[in-house]
Amino acid sequence: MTASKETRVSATTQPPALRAPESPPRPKSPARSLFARIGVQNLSLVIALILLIAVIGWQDPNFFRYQNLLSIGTSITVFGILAIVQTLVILLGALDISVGSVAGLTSVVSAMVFTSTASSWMGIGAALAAGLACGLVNGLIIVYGRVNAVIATLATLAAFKGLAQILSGGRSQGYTGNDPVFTALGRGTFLGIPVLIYLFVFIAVAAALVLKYTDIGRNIYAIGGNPTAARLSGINLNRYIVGVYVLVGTVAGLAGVLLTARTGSGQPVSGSEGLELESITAAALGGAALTGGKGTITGTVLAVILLGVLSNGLTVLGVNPFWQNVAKGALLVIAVVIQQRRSGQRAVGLPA
Amino acid sequence: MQSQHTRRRGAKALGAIGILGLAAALTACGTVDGGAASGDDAGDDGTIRIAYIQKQGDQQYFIDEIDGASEAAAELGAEVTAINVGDDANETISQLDTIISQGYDAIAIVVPDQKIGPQVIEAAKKAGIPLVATDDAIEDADGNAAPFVGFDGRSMGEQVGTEAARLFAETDWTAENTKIIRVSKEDLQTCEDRNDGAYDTFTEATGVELEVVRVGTDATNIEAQDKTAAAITANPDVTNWVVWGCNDESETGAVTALQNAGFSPDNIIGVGLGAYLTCKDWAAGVESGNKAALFISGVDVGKAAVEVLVDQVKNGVELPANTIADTTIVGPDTWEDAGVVCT
Repeated sequence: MTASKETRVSATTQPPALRAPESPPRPKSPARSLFARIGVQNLSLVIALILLIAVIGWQDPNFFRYQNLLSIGTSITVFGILAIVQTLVILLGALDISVGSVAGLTSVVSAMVFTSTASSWMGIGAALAAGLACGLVNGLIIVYGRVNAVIATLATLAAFKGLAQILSGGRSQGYTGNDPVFTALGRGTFLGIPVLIYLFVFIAVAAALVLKYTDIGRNIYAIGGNPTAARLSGINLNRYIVGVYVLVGTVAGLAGVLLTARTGSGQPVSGSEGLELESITAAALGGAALTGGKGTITGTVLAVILLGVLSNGLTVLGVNPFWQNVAKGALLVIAVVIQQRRSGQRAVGLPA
Repeated sequence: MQSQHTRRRGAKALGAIGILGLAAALTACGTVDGGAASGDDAGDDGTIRIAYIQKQGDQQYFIDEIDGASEAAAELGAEVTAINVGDDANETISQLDTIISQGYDAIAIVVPDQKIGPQVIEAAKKAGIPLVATDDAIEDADGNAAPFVGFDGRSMGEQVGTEAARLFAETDWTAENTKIIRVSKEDLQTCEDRNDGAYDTFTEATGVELEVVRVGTDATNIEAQDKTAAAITANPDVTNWVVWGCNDESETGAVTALQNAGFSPDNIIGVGLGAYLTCKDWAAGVESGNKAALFISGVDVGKAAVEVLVDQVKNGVELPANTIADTTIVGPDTWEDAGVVCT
């Protein structure tokens, strides 16, 4: 326990990717340096991904069709961007259960504002602003209301969902199917690749760079690893916590816009319900520790792709949807067990 | 220390006032989500109080149903309290007990699980409160059905199948180049019934046995899109698609996936169920694979349920065993006249 805390605190002085192997530096062969770059944790995900793709592709080579690979990309974007920001929250040692509701609320807002102003940019702007406000509410409740993050966002999960239903009267809102901006977001392509995939990549790269190369990123690891040490070293915890929740809210607002763009109308509940658990699943599968201070964007991205490939592949192979749920759950358990056992914890009592 | 105590007590009082205010505001709103918290005693002013328990009360269809029920109630001197129980059978029983203890005059119910029928019917009978089941029929322990208002699930699917067959007959598609995409939530019996009904009627009417691609989803548009995209991958040799599902979300999602994959609307026959999403393409004048839809009006069902209940309470007329609401097939030219609400 003490040892692991020390490792986490050391994150304040080291970039996270260098910290992962936790072995003394040795003269590196090219293969070893590649492994070091990927990280042992991520390596197991890469191997699982390769195995999965090989098995599915062997059963049905159609899996490799370009169109199918793109459809995997578009299907993972919405929960993928949420998983990335969820990773930031988890790094702080918290959770945001309300992201699905925020996405539903902002989906409705984007469609309603678009319908009444006939401007897609107004619709998108309003949705992002609404998302930001939701994130701010979450952050303020947690910091100044002194409410546990899980409880606070569990409460706003219900409240934001109710707000979406009140605003929309429970009905799907508007029609964005013939608006050029929404259509471009939902099904447009650039250089043969869907716009959705660019958005996912952009957000992933931005988050990874911030975590790895800026003080902000290092401080986020420090706060999650040891809040007391972080506070004593002069980090303003409140600002970081509120800031990260605001970011999550805004990205959930973007997810809402994308839901509207994909379905062609604002959906208060349909399609956004359950996104919170999917995003947490991906972050956990990617190696983010719910205790905070440990996890990488690369891991989360690999996990998102793994879940996307699994879901697509099982449908391509015509596997019964009931078994698809079992497969998803089993994958998560196996991955986390492997990660935990590798960390060398003694099997006594509740795990850290 | 003293001042801190006072402050704390002050804060507590403030909190209590806030909670009371919120409760009062919610009661004033008329519908209560997940809890029957209406304070008045039954029928003091002769108003007939009807509780409407619904599964999935946040879905558009069921919201329409409450609108219809409230409308009819206002005309007949009754009032309706809506209670959403989601998909929770246990919550349904708890809410039913609350309603009975509050002395409501009549109950309309859409059960989340038909298996709880015997408990529901037994509880209402014991309390002497008239009850109708709407949308999903229920039976007591001896197999006697409760009075029912709604549609026949299988016949809904059959109408979808008949319309798909009619549209299919207008093309030169064959079993070699055409397949059916059937989007279902496979753990929901009513959903399966609709899809099976559609297939049987389609096959009988066309005399062609098309291969079926089964797409299992959670009945949302997004999942229908993603799963259909994968299902298309496994069937690269298909030119034309016939599409149906157990609600509008399922069917429109599958059609969107096909169009995203490059299929022209000319190569898709999509027949929706509900018409509340298919109507959006039609209202915007956009050509799409959504060719028709079965329009089911929640408003009509809600109205009919309240009418038969009020008639029973006021005039002692026995509840009719079956009140079947009308359904109509609508298309790009007919949806408005049929009364489809397109938001």
